[in-house]
Amino acid sequence: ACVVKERKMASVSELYDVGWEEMRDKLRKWREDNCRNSEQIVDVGEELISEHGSKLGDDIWIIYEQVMIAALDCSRDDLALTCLQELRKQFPDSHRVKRLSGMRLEALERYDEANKHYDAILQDDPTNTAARKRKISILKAQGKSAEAIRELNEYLEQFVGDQEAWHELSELYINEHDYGKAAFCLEELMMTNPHNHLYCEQYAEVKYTQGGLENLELSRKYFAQALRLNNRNMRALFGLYMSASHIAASPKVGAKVKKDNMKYAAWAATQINRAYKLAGRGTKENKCSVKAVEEMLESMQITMS
Amino acid sequence: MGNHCSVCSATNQTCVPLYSSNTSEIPLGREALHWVDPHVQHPLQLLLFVLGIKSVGDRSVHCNETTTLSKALLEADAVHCPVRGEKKAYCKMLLHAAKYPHCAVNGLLVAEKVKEKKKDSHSAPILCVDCVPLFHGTLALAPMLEVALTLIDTWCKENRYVIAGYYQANERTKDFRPNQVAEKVAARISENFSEAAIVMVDNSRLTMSCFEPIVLIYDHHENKWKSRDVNTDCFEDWLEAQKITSALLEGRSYENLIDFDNHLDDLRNDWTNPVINKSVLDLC
Repeated sequence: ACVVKERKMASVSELYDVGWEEMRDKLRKWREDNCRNSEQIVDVGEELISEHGSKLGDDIWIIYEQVMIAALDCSRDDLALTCLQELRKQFPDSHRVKRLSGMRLEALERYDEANKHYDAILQDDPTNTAARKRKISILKAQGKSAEAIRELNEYLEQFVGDQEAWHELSELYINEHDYGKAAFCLEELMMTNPHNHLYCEQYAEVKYTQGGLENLELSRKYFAQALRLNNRNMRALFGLYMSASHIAASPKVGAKVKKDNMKYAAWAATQINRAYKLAGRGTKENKCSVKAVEEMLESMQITMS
Repeated sequence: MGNHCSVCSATNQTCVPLYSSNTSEIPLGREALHWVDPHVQHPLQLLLFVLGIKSVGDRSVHCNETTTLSKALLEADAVHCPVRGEKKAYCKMLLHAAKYPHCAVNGLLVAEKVKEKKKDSHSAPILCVDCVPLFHGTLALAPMLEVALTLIDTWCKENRYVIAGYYQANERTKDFRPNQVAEKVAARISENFSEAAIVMVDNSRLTMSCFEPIVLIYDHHENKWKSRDVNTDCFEDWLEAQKITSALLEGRSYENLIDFDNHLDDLRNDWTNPVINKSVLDLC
């Protein structure tokens, strides 16, 4: 037998010196931030439920749900089933719990049965968005991207404010290399979330990937916008550098546009250098990154005329 | 202590037989971990024993002071892996896939730059000594990929590496075919390295133990990417690669794996993964 494996794993509370309240609060934070750190959730949640279940009060039900979903991610069907059974006992006719049953079937790749669960919910309640979205997830899992895209589009016609759905659709389009439509989805998201630098930056990336001078200029504008919203967004900074450099290097632009873009690129380059120096703090490991960036900037041969 | 060691007759030293072909005499592995002579040879065999795997030959160790296995090995520079890095590349690839089970992941494979070109080198498989994990989630966007390729290319030049391949693990478990992204990146790599390969991870076979190699390797022939037969001969030292990968997966080392996305989130994150590299070395 392997000696290393037989060692008993320390409990979460011992390892991190936390009490049950902190564990409960951590779980709540992860719920609110919609984190998918499933292994951690399983570690913390399983211990919390088994050792402090009685202290959790009504919180225990939402914790069961959270831990169950995380358990599915970690192939812990034993744990998922335990949580599910507790929830079924407490809420026997709940659609929300039925959806969790469906998710478990999805995890076991029993898609037809899962679909039956969701169809049953929708028959009872045609406006149940969760069930509709799970059906779309099944299409995605089965590799039926075209159908998933079609269904998601139909869904969004009805539920036009569902940001999660818009984002999912943009990702589906990106994976199909349909950048124009992906951009459209991100435009919707930017309209409803004008201060979100991540949407701006992703939109810029899509435009850049689409290619062509117009799209490059648009991408540069949106990288700049993302930076205005959050000046520490490295992707936006790199993106600004790349797009401005490509525009300046393009034979199709006039002298003024060339000059302007070289200025933007040079500005971005100094900011990138500065960011690396700040992060590097002179440690050995990061020195190569700084040098690598300098050479990359040199190799793009952008100079101030 | 003033005794004579019954095994080697050295005085004033404690001699702990580490392993023996006579299984009834095997001492407890856990204790053996704490007693290491800095000049011990074959550290791999030492570890093999401790992990409960049968080994051959008799060996005893003189213990001078308590120390931990990995520390002693590193200090004595006794880590003697006949093949450098092959394990690193395979490990980090799988750790990357394991860290983001619900996403697609990709990365670059690097090989040591060979000065002399062998005449029949086209038939020899590429030895990838390291890998750089790139992204997780959306792989099909251009700007950050360009940045990564340029930065990593510079790093390669500093270390006499060359980007020799590309790996990808798709989002869906059963999907292991290279897609357009894979082909595009590989085509770009081929401009600098004609024998660039695409390595696809077969997610459906990714387990803690991974007794067989779970990758598919695609080479470019006649304008198409064709998969080649993958067996343990494709790796310089499969047994070791498998054991180390398995140990790292079980120890959840993937939580510390840094990819280029992590680097862009926080520049202090080092995509050369010195921590994981050290863990691999520790396990050699």
